[in-house]
Amino acid sequence: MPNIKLQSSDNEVFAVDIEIAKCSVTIKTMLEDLGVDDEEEEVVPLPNVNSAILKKVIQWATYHKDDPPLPEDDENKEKRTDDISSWDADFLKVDQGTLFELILAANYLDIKGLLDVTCKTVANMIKGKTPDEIRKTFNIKNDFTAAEEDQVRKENEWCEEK
Amino acid sequence: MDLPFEVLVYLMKYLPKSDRKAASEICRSWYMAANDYCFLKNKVVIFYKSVLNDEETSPSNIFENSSTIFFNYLFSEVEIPNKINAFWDKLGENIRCLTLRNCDINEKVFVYILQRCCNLHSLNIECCKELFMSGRLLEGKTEGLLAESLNNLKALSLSGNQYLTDALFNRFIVASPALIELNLSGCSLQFHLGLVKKFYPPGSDVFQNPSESVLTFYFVLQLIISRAEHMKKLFFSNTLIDGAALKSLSEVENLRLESLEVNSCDQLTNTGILALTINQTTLKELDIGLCTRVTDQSLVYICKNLVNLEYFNIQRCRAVTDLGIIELNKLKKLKSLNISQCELITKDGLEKGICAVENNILEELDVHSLNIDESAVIMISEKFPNLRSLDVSYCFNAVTDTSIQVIFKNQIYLQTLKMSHCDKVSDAGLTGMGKVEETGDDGPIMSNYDESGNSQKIHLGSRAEEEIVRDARRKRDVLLMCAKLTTDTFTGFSLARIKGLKELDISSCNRITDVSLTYAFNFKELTNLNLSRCQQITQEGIGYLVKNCPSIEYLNLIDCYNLKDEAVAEIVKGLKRLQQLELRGCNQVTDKTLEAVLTYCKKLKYLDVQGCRNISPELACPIGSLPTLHTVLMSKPGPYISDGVKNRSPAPTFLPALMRKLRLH
Repeated sequence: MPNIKLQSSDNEVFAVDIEIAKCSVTIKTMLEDLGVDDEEEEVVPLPNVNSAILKKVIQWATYHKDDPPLPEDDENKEKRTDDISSWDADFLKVDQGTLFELILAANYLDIKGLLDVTCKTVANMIKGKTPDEIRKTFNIKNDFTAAEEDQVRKENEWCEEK
Repeated sequence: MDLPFEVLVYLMKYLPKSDRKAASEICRSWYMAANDYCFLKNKVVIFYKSVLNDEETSPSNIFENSSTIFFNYLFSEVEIPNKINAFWDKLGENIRCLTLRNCDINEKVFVYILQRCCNLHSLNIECCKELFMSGRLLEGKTEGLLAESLNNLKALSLSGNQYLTDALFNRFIVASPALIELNLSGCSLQFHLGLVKKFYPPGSDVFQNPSESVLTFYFVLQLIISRAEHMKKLFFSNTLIDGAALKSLSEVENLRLESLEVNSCDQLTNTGILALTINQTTLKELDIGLCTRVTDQSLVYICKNLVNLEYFNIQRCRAVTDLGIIELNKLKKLKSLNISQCELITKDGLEKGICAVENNILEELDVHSLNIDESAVIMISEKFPNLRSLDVSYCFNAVTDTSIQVIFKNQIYLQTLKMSHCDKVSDAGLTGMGKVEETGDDGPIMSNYDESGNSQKIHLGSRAEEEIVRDARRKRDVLLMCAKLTTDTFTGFSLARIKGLKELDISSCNRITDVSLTYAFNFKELTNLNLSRCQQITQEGIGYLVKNCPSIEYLNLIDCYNLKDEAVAEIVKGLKRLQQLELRGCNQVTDKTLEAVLTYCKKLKYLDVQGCRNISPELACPIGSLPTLHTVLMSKPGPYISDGVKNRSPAPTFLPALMRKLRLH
């Protein structure tokens, strides 16, 4: 199997099977655009991903390399969050900072499967909580003015989603 | 940690609606994401029994001041005043869908609103009697400004307006050339040919001179004929539509319907349905529920010809038997099926019909009140692994601890489960902790309580008494098993397996006790819970419920008479999203309950404390001041009120605004 080299933001280089690297649509398009042939020892720089996260991403992609393609999203249906595989659940037993960095990396690298499972994990952490509890859980600053907060709360009282 | 906007929106797609609401209150960026177009297009602003005016406190004011543009507005049981013109001036052009239901509104205000709402896609004017009474609505208004307002209208509903006439109807449709959906349910549509002859003599142009006194099906049909290629969805429920009328509708040239609803049409016969199935094979949705004349013959036609059906309702078509039901397996695309209250259906019909092969497509199944047995429910459960919604209410004999265990084993994707009045179900079935008598392939089989230890004693009590003793003993046993539970002991399947449950109805399942609430209720997404007449429930179970199901919005505890003020206090403190609380007949609760509601419920819209004789109406006044609350149901103090409160002053006279909310019974 031919390898490809991925360079993290802190300049660590990882040699990865090219098929595994291609589960990132970003890398796949990059390779196609550049027309890299297998002989060359090209290094792909990934300035938005540090080595710790890149390592995790590669670990995830390696495990999931033989997954069937994901079905098309149905916009009208609420998405499920209770179908996280036990491997993924264990893989995502990380601190919150890492979890959010994985979301950012999955988004940047355009790896839908990883983005889905990380978002599901965060969604499960939000469910059933009050706004205050959510802020505490994720350490989010409330940047509403008192008037704005009141306005938002009132809107929600009169609004329902179909 | 900051996430980019598009990631935040993506994340929110994984949240249930009520959590998305909470998320929008966190900070500015989350608010923006929660109001992204993909969510906003489904949001409806609902003014229900609201008092609207031009004052600061009017709820209409909230939306005039919002930074978000809302597209859908519903006014229900509202007096729409002429004082809120500023509201329509500012927001009208953004409104896509406007619904007025049971509203007091005069013609002048209505015309003003229509002129301001110039980009409507959907207009629903339901049960607004006053508006149509004079028969002069929109007279001379259909050209000019108004014509442009309704230019893009796709869906029009004038349902439930008994004073609608051909002439009035005509003014609406002349102005809306793009219509694809029309709802005239519950209007007094006339089908008699004699009337047609009287108002439309042969050779006359119906559109030139529409009747100002009646609404005729003939006229509606002429409209549909003239727009056959566009019309896709029709609703004629609660009308006298008969076989001949449906036949002439079905045979309209170039008409390719996708959806037809003719629920509760007693005159509808097989002739009409035959014509429908021959000509409208594009139908995806068909509702002929409560049409008593529909028989097996209709069902045979439908299943043979309407193979594109995805939604099909034949609720309480009483004449339908297994002969018709076995044909249902020809409908391969069905996602939603309602065959409830068809009393002649048996297990045999289901077995040869919808349960003949495993079906991964069906998502919603309503079989409530069918005469089926335990094995039929087990069969249903095993054949439909992808069900999202299942209603087995009133299947008294079919829903048992054994069959419910099979449901919990197979239907883990359910979002809605209704098993009202299935009073054979006990804690053993709900928790999966029943005594295992024998273990078959299908999992544990619940036994009745083993009474061998007591068989020597002679019972002097009544059967009912024995039952009570047995239930109590059973409860204790299950409780012991739950308490001793370790991972390596064999257990059955708990209700808690259905993690994504949003709606649960176990009303009148009165063998269910605190044990189930303690061990089987852990649902982060549960919003609707009906526990009415589960009379063994006490504060202990409520405590666990509140802790483990934080998203509950609608809670029905009618006649749970073991609940006291302390239990209600736990509910109102713990359930931050509570909107509707029904405590009717909980006769141990007192004024303390109302005080707790007043202190803790910030989102409550509906409160029912009828028959709670220890609650005094004086407290209704401050309760009425909760801004979100629109309905309070309570009783006048009864004759059997305890001595200490007998000498209370009479109920205060309520402010007119509060009277709208409060009903004394």
